[in-house]
Amino acid sequence: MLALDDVSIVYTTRSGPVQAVSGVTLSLPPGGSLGLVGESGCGKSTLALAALALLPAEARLAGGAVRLDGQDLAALPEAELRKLRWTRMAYVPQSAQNALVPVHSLRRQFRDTAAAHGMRSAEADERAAALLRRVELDAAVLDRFPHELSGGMRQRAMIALALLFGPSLLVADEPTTGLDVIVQRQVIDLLRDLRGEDGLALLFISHDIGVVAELCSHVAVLYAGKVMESGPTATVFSEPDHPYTMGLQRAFPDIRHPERSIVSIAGHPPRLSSPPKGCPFAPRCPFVQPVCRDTTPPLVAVSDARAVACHFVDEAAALRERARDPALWDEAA
Amino acid sequence: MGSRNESGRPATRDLRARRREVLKFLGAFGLTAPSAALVSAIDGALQSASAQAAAGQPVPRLGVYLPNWPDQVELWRQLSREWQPLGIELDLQQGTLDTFVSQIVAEQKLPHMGSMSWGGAPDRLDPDYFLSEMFHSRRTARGGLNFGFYRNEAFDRLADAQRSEMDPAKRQQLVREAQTHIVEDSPSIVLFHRDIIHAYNKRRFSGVKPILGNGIGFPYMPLSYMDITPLTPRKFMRLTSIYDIASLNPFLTPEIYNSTTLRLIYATFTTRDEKADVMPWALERWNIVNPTTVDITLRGNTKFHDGRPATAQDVKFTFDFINKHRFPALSRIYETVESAEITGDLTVRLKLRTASAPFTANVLGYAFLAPKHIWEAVPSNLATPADWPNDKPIGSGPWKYVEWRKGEYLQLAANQDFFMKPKLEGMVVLPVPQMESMVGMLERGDSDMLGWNLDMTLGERISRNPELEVVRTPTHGQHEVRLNLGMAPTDNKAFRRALQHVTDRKKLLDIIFSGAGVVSNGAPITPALENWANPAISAPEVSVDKARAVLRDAGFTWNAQGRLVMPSA
Amino acid sequence: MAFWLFAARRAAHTAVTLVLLLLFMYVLFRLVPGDPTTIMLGTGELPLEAQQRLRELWGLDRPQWQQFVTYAGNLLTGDLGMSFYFRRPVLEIVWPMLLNTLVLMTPVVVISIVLGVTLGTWLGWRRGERIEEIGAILALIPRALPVFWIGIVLLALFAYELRWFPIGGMRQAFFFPETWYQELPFFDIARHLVLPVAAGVLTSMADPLMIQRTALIEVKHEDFMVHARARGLSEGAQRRLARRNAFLPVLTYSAIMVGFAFGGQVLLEVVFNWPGMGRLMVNSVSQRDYPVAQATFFFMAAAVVTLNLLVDLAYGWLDPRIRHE
Ligand SMILES: Nc1ncnc2c1ncn2[C@@H]1O[C@H](COP(=O)(O)OP(=O)(O)OP(=O)(O)O)[C@@H](O)[C@H]1O
Ligand SMILES: [Mg+2]
Repeated sequence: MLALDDVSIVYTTRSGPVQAVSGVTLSLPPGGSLGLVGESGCGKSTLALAALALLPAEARLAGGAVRLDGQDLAALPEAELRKLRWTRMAYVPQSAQNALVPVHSLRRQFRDTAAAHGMRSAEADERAAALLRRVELDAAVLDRFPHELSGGMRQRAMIALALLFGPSLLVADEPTTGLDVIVQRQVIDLLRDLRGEDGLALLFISHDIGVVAELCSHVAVLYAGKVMESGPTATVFSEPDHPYTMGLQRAFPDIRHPERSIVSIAGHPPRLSSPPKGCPFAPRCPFVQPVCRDTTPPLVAVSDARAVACHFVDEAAALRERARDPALWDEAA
Repeated sequence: MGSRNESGRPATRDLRARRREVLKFLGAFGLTAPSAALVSAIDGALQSASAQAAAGQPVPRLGVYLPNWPDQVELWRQLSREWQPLGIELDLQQGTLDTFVSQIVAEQKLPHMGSMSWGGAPDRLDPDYFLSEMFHSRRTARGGLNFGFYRNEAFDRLADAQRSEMDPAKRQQLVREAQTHIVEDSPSIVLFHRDIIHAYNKRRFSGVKPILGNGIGFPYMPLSYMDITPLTPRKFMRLTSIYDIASLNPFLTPEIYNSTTLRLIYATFTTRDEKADVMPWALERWNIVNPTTVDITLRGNTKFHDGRPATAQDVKFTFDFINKHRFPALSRIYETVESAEITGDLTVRLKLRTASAPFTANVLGYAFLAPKHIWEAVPSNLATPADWPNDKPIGSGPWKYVEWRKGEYLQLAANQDFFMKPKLEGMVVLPVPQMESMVGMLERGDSDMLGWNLDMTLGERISRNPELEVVRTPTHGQHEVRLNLGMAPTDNKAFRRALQHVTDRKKLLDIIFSGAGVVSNGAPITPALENWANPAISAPEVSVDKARAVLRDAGFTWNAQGRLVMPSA
Repeated sequence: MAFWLFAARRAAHTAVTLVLLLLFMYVLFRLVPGDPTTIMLGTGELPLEAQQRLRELWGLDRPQWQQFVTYAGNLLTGDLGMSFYFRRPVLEIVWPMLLNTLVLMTPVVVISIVLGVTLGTWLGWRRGERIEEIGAILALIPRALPVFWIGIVLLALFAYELRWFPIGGMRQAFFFPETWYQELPFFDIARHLVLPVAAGVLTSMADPLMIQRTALIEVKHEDFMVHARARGLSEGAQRRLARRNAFLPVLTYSAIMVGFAFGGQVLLEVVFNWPGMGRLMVNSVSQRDYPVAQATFFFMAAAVVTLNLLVDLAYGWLDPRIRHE
């Protein structure tokens, strides 16, 4: 279905190039679900846009390829891409607040989208009403303007809009940010129900590993534009092999181990305009060794499904033990 | 002395300062900017003027008012240089015609001197204007044109005498003698009489008639259009002018362009011929019975444009109407004519309040025949019949009104019933507010005659076009520098005469107007008006030595810096 | 309901503004030194005594407050007074000039806004491309030049050299059609309009263009534009969407532009000898023809204020996010 092969993305900015994504390889089978987790600014949204061939003008695919069903998106002319968009791959952006056209009613937005792919208004209205019911909204909201809806309603309307043509890939970029817990729950439940329905593949982006654990069968942990670790969600989170994943995991409350205290990883991600030599996580890693600062560890497969980019992947079990100590993370500060 | 003055009138100074503030503030809105700037310009000139020259002290910078027209600016650039050898400096203040009228004429705020150009309006052909209006001591009152405060009893007597002298030969003597006083006393430096330059399309029209002070295109003299003959099938002529008229009511406007244009429709009783002699127009003749009694006879078979015959009734009505309503624009008529009496079908006897030599030219030449049947019917609820729109003017003149579109055109048709028949079938007067466009229209053939004063550069450009002809006509209008006799050092006759000797009139005319004009002989009446000019007068010799000698003889000296120093007391 | 309340309150504000404006203008014009009769004095055409008589006839000899009371009273009956210069009721003077001005300014404003918005959208859409940089500079050049100068150049080229268009004026005094197209209604006015409209558009177009371009560049980066692209909207549809969302700033500007158009453009009117409001306005000020000057400024101000009101009211409809509380 979707395959990212050694993808690197560079933003051209006034102050020089920003290497937002470097050498990311991911794949998502039809009907599968892949979670992307990582701190703010690690390149999640950039990857999402690359997957949809929606990178802004100032971004450049500096290497690698994005393939949808084996087709290299970069090789397709804009007109062909336009046909793929929304019919094959749809998108729920990070902020539904700003992603709906403020001056148009929802009906207009459904119709415009439909018209772009040759669907007539009447049919669009019908589909829209059905989809809105599917996301548990009253069809009457079609005649409302975005600002007249609550955040949760907007996000659900957004999802309904994304399903207009029954796409095979849905990219959801932090769809629950800014929503209150109850609404968050509704949206997640909705996505969980949709996942796999009619073979819909889900690329789900979040910095919340709990949500990813719930929704996605597979996960990739991103740090400073690089994949640190990837694999089946269950094993990655129960037995993280990468120190960053260990820290990340400890940064969220775990309902199974409520006694564990929450830690925060001291320090900041590196500036992508001038990435450091060696492992990008080295400056913050509590287990750092000299080799980490010199050589960038490659992403290596440790089992059938799992890959990790750490020099000390062999000592992962020991490191996991040491990582249980909250003081360790503080020390690193 | 200065300080006493200042502390004596703090309130006024304060008020004026405050008003300037307000004006400046309003100026920010771009509304009154010119006026505000001008008021301060004049105030500035006044300040330098109030720095009066004291005995034995160097002459202060002399305040000069000049209109902000390019030729005037050039004039003073030349004069500043020419007058330098006398050891004087000038403080130039520019203003508009508007400031000139309101500040200098009405408010009498002339600094040491001011320059002005006087147009050649028809009534100024009579010597009375440039003598009495400008230099009679009576006209030193506010609003009078003797704003340099010249006072000479001998001159006043001559000016009064010529005004009431009905015998032309005797009057000529008086006028000529009066001018010798002006030359001797030098209240003004009369510079030159700039030619009027008009142009027309000679392939399309012939028979243009240049008239002194009118050129070929101004409406001042109705005679100038009478012989214009079309050479192509189009029988009407298109004439461009800078101005548009403002009103169709001949009783309303004192403005010369508007009033003379309306007099093409409303025939005046007399007019001027090519030699500037007075000739009958609506009248067949006049007879001066005695200095205050004039019999006038209307032409027989005169018809108004609506076909109604004109009779003595209408003549009497016209004068009675003017006397009754005292139209400000026609003040010279009601101030002169006391009554009108019908003495026959076509004859009326006018009783004058005082004897007036310019009467036939300036009163009968300004008054027009108004149809009684129309004006007696003007509604009485108006403050004055001058406010009547008069949308369809009916007169008895050589041109009939057809249509006026404000800002676009005024269309006139020939009146075939007029005793002198126009050779054109009609005229269209097009107001064009920009000289360049006027010239362009003439060159492209969009107009046939350019009835506004061209400068020589444009004149030369036009004359290169084989279809067009440029016509230069002398005028009695003049450029002058008026000196303020109310303050030192311009109150000193020797000083004024010295300025005359360092003013090279010919050179100035050459530089500023490419020599297109007549150099003044120093008197306010142009040598071109042979009847009135004094042949014995000639322009003062141009000589710096002579000028310095005149000053030295009068006790002026020069200090080490070469600056002119006032005579010691 | 809230809208009607809002509209009523804004309309009331507007009315008060206009009344204050009238008062302000009355005072303002009377602060200018000299009165209309002074102008009539000319260079001796009118003796001082006659000027005094004129003042009496025109009611200028009465105390200011009395004059004002009369003026205000007349206003209430819709009477704007008498022009001093023309001695005709003000409306009779102003109406024809206002119509002439509208004939000239309507195409100028409409074309300026349509072209400005279209080109501004196009340039903004092409943000970052070489063509956009060149286009923005080209659009700004005529704006930096005085309209007077542009007018003269256009005249020199198309009226004097090529003789395609007349030199000026609104129509030819006596126009006799010679061919079928010359017989079309308004042919004469239309050919007189071409050059002044072109000059007007060249200078007036840059502002809406730059405003639209800036607004578009901002809108282009909004999330909903990325989303629109993701939805597969065609480039044209995306651009239209951007234009629609970038429309408010240029609309606000246009309202002001249209309002000021009621005052004409004096330089344009002088170069092309167009008898319109601009010239009337300037002449009436210099002639101290207060009633006319007041009326012309008032018409313009009223147009500006009223259009602003309309735009304010239209905002809620154009951008549903704006609510009228
Ligand atoms: N338009 C852009 N121009 C330049 N740099 C950009 C641009 N968009 C993103 N970046 C940079 O690329 C990096 C990745 O950004 P991205 O938005 O993909 O992160 P993210 O993981 O989605 O973060 P968040 O959780 O805050 O949404 C960041 O360092 C960011 O500063
Ligand atoms: Mg993001």
